[in-house]
Amino acid sequence: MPPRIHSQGIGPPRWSSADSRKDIARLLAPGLLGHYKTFEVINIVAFPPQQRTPLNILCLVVAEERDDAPVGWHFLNTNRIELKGLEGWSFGVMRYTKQILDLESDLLAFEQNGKWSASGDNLPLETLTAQPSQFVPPTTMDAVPLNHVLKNNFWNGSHVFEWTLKNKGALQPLFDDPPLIQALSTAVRAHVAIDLASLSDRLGNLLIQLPVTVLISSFAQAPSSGDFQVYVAWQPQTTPRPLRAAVELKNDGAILGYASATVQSSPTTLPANWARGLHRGALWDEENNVLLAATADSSFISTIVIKGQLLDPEPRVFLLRQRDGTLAPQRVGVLRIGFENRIGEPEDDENGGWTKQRLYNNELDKLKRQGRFFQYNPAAGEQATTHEEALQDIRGLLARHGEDGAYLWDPYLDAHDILGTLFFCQHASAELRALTNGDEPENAKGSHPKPTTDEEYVDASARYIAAQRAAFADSQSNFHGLRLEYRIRRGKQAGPGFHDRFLIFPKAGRGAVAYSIGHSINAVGTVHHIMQQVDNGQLILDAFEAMWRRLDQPEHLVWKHP
Amino acid sequence: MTSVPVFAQIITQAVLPGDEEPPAKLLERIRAHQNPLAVLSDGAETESWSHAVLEQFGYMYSQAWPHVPSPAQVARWSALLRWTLRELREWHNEADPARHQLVAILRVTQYLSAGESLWPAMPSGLDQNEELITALARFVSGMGATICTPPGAPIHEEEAATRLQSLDAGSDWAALRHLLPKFLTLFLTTGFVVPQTVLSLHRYASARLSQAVANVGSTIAALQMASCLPITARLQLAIDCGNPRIRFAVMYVTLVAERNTGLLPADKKLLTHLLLDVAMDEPVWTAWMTAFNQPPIGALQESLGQALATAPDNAVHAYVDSVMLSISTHQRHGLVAQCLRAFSSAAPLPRRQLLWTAAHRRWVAWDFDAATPDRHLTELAFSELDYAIIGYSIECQTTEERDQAIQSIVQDLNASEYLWHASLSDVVTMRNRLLSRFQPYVHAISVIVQPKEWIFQGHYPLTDTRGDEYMRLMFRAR
Repeated sequence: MPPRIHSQGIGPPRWSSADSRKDIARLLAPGLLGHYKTFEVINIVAFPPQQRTPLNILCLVVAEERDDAPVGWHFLNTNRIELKGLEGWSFGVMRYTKQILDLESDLLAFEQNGKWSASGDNLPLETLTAQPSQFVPPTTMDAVPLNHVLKNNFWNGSHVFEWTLKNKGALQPLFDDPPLIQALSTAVRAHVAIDLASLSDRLGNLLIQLPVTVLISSFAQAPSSGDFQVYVAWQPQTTPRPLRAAVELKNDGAILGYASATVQSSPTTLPANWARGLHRGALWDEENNVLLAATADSSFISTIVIKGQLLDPEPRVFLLRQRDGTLAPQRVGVLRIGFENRIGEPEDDENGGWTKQRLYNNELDKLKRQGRFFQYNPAAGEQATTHEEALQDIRGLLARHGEDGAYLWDPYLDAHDILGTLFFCQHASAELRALTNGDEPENAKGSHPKPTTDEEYVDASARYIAAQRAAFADSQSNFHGLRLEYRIRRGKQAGPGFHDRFLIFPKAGRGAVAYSIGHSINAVGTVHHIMQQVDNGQLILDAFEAMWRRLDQPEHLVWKHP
Repeated sequence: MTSVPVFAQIITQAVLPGDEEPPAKLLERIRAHQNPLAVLSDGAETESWSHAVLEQFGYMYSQAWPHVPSPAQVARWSALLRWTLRELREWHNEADPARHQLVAILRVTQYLSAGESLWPAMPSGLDQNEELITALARFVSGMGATICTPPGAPIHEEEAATRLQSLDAGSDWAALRHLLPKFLTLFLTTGFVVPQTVLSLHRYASARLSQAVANVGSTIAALQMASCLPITARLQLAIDCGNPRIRFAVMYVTLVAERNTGLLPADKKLLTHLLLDVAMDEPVWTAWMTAFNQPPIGALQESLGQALATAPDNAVHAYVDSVMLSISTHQRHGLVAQCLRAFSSAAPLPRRQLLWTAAHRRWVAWDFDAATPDRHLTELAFSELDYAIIGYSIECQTTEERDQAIQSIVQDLNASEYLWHASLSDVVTMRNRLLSRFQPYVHAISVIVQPKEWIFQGHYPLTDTRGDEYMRLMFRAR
């Protein structure tokens, strides 16, 4: 189908606040999604320094069936939330409830003047952009990110309308220092189960959640036949209407099964030859053309293994030599597998396990292609080649993710390594940081005696820094487009040393991405090791930031440009 | 033919004039030692004494052995017992300074007992021998015992032995109770001197036995002595002697080691008496509650309930605090209910109100393990204190208070799904916790309307306008 042309250009017509308001009004009709009587507003707000008007951090409006008297706005936190490292700012978690009938007029007012005034005070939200509605199913085996900020979306799912803040400039101080968002999230969670840190891209947004409560449904597998079954129970005050249940089973990119049936009883069976894979179910109101329930990708557990462990009464004991030469007794409780129970039959693929193996290989290839997994296994005499390959891989990562910066963290890092890696970052003025422990690689150990006194330590440090600076000078670079700071962990205030090697991209794709390099840059690729993207990049970044901030004295600076 | 007539036959013949047959081989072996008491711990040597008797007199029958002894055998055993009785009557200190004769006598009585209780059937009159009684009492009062492991024993056994000594020295009854099962009944197999001395003293001079054990300073020795006596005798000894080690040992042997499932009415009374005595000593009582009520022991419950009816207030509180609260999806708190039922029958109303109120306070604070993070309730639950909570609702609450408690739970239930929850498990848990709290109050009303057993099975449903099926699917109920 060719793209439609409208006044704003090519593509679907732009969604407006009025569209959202009208859609919400339609869905609020009693008995359509629920019998809503009130709505609850949770509004997380920030008070920047010298600013009287609060900033919206997140505003969530939830339609509810409770029939309580409205509660005026109040802060759930008795003391304003303050974050270390964001001086002068404070935050609050505001809550109030109103009659559901007020929601439409509050939306109309918001549409007309860009201010959210449901609480009686004006919260400026002029810059928000309305988005088409979405249906958010409850979380099952795969995370449904929006559920981190929605309220109790555990049953059928919710229709969600969102107004997004595209320009988050006012919240930039939070994005500049991601641990602040984590700290704010932790503080907010003490009052309400909203996980801001998991959905920091939603900061500044307004969300309206309409949970489906008019019925309750459940998708299950019939134990005997393996068919799908849909259980539906309507609220007694609602006349049941025709529903269509559909379920799809997919695996390995193929649709293995699909079934659809009119729901006439509970349970309604959706007969199909169900094999392995992920399924999604949906419940469609044919009379009103509205989704009343859906599941995220789910699967049924066919086998579980329960292993019981028994603590052997006899411990393992041994002496461990301490740094001071003394021997410290150690004691380890030894666990023995007492029993193993397998419930259900282990499920193999229908192709004798070959498909499972192929999927594994595909996944491995995909990770390599995506640059998330690198393995180096040099044969004798090929170390120089594989070292160069590994450096090329790092340079590739810098090109792919380094637009907004890259941090290299390696205890053995030196100027030569930095020249071979960060200097290859093509992105002009990307913030590059390098952090070393100033350790000597194994093959160079002994070239300088290890300092033992404070004086020797200071001398060694000065000598090291001078050598590093000389190396940069010797590179005869023009340092064009380079923005690099190189620090060393030195001195009593510097905290403990470090061992792991990471390449961190603080803002790749709006979130932090970190690679465990697996070996020091000076010998990367020369022995068998793996470089791979790690799951929790933000936490690695937080750890790096904490150490970087500690090393902010002149004696920690090795080199900086400009 | 059971053993008892044979046993009676031997004693009947032995008290009549006739030939004596001394245990010559046994005496010869024992007299080979200058100090026979010093070799009692030598297992090989004492085993040879046992063989010496067997060689001379053959195997003694037992109830478990269906063999019927011949008249000649009975005559020989009677001759041996005749020798024993005379020796006991005539024994005096100066004639047996090293106790060769006394050790031989005790070895013979052990042989003649053959797993049965010889002493209750023995003729009276031996208590006239004051020197004998004094010597036996000295044996008992001087008994000590230590436990150690041989070289090369596993580390955990060595550590357990050391810990046992340390706990004993510190009179840490609660910890001792839970350590002792590691040793199974090792220390209850005690040779012949301890049982024969204790049993003979109990037969002829029970007051002297009480005095003798009053200062026993080793729990292991106390356990050995307690295990020799029948239940009634040991309970009486515990009451009479006042020695906390003996008292603990009697409780441990009776309730834990022997796994008695029920006691005779007279023994239950003695146990109640003993508990009441101990209840006067708050620290020991608290330790006992940890030792013997965690987990609850069936044979203790009725006596404990009776004791609580008149025990000091703080003993009641210590009892309530000792009840191990756990979540169960089916009614399994029978033992606690058994205690509380006995208590309820024996205690006057103010005392019942004291216990019910303490239990209710603890139950509310516990709230089905609400303080344990990630403790999820997938179904309604019962608790060990349900009987007391129903008692509280019936006997401590007014109608208005009861209704208010129920209303408060219903309000919380209605509000629960509108609170913010991190997961479906959290909502379901909160609902099941509230519904579990709801149950005893509703059952109390049911009991008031129509008297019935306080412990209940099943659940009282709470009606919701959304219908049962809706609620079942929503809260994943079965």
